[in-house]
Amino acid sequence: MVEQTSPEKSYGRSLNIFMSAVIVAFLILLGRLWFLQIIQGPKLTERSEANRIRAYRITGSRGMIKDRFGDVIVDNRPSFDLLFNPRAVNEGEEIQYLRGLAGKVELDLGVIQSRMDANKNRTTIKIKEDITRDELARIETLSMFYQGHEYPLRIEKVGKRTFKFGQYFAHIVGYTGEIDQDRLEAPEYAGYRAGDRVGRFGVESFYEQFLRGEFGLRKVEEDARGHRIRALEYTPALPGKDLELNLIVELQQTASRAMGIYAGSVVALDPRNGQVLALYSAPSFDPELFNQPLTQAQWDALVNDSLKPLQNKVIGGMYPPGSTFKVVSALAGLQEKEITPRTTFECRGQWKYGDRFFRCHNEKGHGWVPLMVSLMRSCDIYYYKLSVQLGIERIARYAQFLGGGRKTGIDLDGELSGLIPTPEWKMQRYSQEWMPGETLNTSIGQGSVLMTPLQLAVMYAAIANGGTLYQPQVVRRIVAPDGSPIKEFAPHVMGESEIDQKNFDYVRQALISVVNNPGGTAYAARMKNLTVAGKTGTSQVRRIGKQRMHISTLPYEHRDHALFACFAPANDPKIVVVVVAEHAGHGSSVAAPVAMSMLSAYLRVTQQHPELVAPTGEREQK
Amino acid sequence: MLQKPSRRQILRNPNRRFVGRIDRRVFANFDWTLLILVALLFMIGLLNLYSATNDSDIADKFQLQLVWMVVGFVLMCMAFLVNYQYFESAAYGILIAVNVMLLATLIIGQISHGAQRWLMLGPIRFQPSELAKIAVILALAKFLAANRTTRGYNLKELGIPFALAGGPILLTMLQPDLGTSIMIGLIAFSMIAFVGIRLRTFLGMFFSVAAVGVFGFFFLLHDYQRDRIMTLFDPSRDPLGTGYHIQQSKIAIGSGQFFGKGWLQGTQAKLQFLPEHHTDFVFSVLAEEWGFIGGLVVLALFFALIAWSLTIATRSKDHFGTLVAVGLVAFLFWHIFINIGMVLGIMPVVGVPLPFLSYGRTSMLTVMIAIGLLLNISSRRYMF
Repeated sequence: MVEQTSPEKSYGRSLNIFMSAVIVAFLILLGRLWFLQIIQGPKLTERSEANRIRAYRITGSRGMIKDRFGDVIVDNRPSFDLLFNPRAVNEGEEIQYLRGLAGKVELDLGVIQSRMDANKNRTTIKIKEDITRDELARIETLSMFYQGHEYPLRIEKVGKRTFKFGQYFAHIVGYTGEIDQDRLEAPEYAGYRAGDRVGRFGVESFYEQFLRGEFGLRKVEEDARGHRIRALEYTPALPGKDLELNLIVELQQTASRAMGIYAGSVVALDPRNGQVLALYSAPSFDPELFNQPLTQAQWDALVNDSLKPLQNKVIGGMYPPGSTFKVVSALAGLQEKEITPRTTFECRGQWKYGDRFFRCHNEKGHGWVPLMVSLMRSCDIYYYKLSVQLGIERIARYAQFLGGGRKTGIDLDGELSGLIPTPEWKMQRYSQEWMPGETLNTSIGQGSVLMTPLQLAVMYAAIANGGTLYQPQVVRRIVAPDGSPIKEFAPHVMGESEIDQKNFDYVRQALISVVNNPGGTAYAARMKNLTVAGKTGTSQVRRIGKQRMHISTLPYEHRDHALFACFAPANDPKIVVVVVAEHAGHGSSVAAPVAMSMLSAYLRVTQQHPELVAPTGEREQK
Repeated sequence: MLQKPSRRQILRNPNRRFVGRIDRRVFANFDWTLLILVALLFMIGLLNLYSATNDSDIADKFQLQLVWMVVGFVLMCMAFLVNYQYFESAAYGILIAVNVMLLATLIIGQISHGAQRWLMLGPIRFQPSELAKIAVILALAKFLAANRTTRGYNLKELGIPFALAGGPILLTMLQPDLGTSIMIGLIAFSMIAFVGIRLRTFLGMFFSVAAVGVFGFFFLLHDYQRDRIMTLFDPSRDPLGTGYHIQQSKIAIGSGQFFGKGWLQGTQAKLQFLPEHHTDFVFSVLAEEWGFIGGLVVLALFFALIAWSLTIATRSKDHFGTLVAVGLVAFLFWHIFINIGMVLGIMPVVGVPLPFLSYGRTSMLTVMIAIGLLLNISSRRYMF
């Protein structure tokens, strides 16, 4: 036992130490309070705002797409998305809750789980798109009996694309889909978020900036369970602009029916301004498919189809133009004065040039052939002999004058530029000398020449209108939701061919005879009430050998492409039609009848809409 | 120099018998400073609790708190009026009774939130673990006052104090109520350290506690407790789970900035982002609504309370009084420091209420008893 002392004396030192310790402890707390509230205050205030204020973006409805005469091609239909608010159920029990919905609504829990894992802030997420009316009704019923604080499911009404003439316009209007990573990073897609629907193909993609609605914003205060406390701010969404196309529903339908089982392209232009009246790629697909995420099986079926339904063959298919290309050689010969309309070449069915035999499709030969007959009966030897005089450079130059080898600039994505071969190109591409025989093949549209059906149409439009290259235009004008025009697309001239009008006249006369002279290759397809000028083409996929084989004995992919390019009325052309039927055989027997169906349909349309054939206004020069 | 009164003298002292014969000096020397500090803290606490609970499904907690306050006030008066020397003679008996109650809690106690903490005494439901804090303070003060040292305690001399504190520490840990267990340990340690420990003994103890701590961390703690300690060091470890509390608390406090969002305007608490905002995280509500200014005022009041209580310990004329006061200071200090440290994100989330501010029946009653005892010691400083 120690001596008796007063507490004050015994514990003086301890008291001092305790007091100091308490002071230090309170300074630590105060310092921490200062750090959180003053140093980190603004940052933590932001986080507190982010906690309670939720900004909901409202998507404006997408613009409509109409045909030339106002028939609606693409519209919006109401569709319902199912949203889930994870904060309304206990943490960790989200998937368990959703599993409990089995039988009420069909959910892909695997996908939802991965979305939840990425959703660190436990914000409301979309768990199913476009639920059925039955599912909608069942979910609404469930909500009435819900016992908890806040119903975790919410229905959001959104617009889905609906297609009135789906198959006919699939490649033109295209489809919408969830935005991809490339677009998300592109500056013109600023403001979009992952999961947004954008145009992915066709004019839906090309005119995305006009079609898209403007986003609205609703800011609300919410508590930790996602319960809405009050609205803070509201900016309404604005609908997108409508597109009016130059295309005509009836012509698209005709193209689809006329092509039947064939794969290929039908394109119709107005040669006076470049307006696209019809543009059909066969086979087509149902754009409605793309409203939901495709299943792997659906996707595989579309991609692995040997007829390539997703490809727009009018702008993305490249073919040797075959005999339809002979007009280029003819115009080059005339303009370069290597020939006159009276110049004749002898055709004996084959011609030996160098050490090779070059054959005509008519093995018996055409005899002595002038320009008119060379086109009418599509003599090959005529052009072989002419090409030797012209040389490849001059042929290539005239092909380029007429739009070959470059994109037409149509307002669709995915256009290819084709190929007009030259010695420089061959040297660059293959490091090989140009062979003289290649000039001969080029002159009849074989060898390395490749053109898209659209290029061919632009070329024949130039022949029809006397040498003006118009940019093909799918969209006629853009209209605001209230009907006021936003933008009218005037004709756009890409270039003028430097060819004399009289030479065009010679060629046009020859093309009339192709269809209207009993000896013409397309005589069988002629029309009674309309004078058509055109050229058949049968482009070889494999070379004609000594042994000529009948089409039915060849495997599909080795069969010839059938082509037909024409314009009408021949003396005052108002429509150009180009038909390419892949691996279908002869242009005269397969492609020409399709083109004639198109022209008949055009005549029917003009009876209802005489303004179609009215003189066009002034054109925009560039 | 005053002699320690003998047991006989104490028993003969007429002051301790009943209230009617309380020495007038008790009222003449009444510690108004302490009472005013406490009153201010309670007022702030009620104001803040009203904001934390109104307009929600826990609005009734405010009225309940008022009821506990009245009951607590009665207990405070009792703890004040009965001469504290009476508590000295009864200290060991109280401790034994508390231990029995803790044991009973383990056997027949009510389970809530996964722990067995509640004991029914007729219609009254209470947590004996809270009472254990006061009991340990009294018992330790009695023993340490009787066995003083000037050179510091060694390990052998600490055997009995360890035994006194060890029982309740162990029994509360078994409930499990880690917060209370740690609290009793810290209070006991503070009292022993106040009297003095040899450096060697201290270091030995420190390292054995550390060793036990490490062992306990890996083998004794519940997963949730381990998680809470782990997330203290890295709250972003699990932003949706255990770290969420600390994160939301820091957001609440930080967003108060200098002047606060204003009374009843705190969004973190009102919109349920801040969990337990009427109990353990009540200081976050205050800091959110009153800002740094409010936090500073409350911290200053707490500091004044503790500093003043330490002077009460200083001025007490007997060792038991001093040591009880020191124990009560430790009781208040550790609750305040650990709770505020926790909501500020520098202490583990162990579930310790904040005196005067947190909602809670047993906490309120214990704090009231503690204040009553402090008033008792302070007002009887001239009586020997």
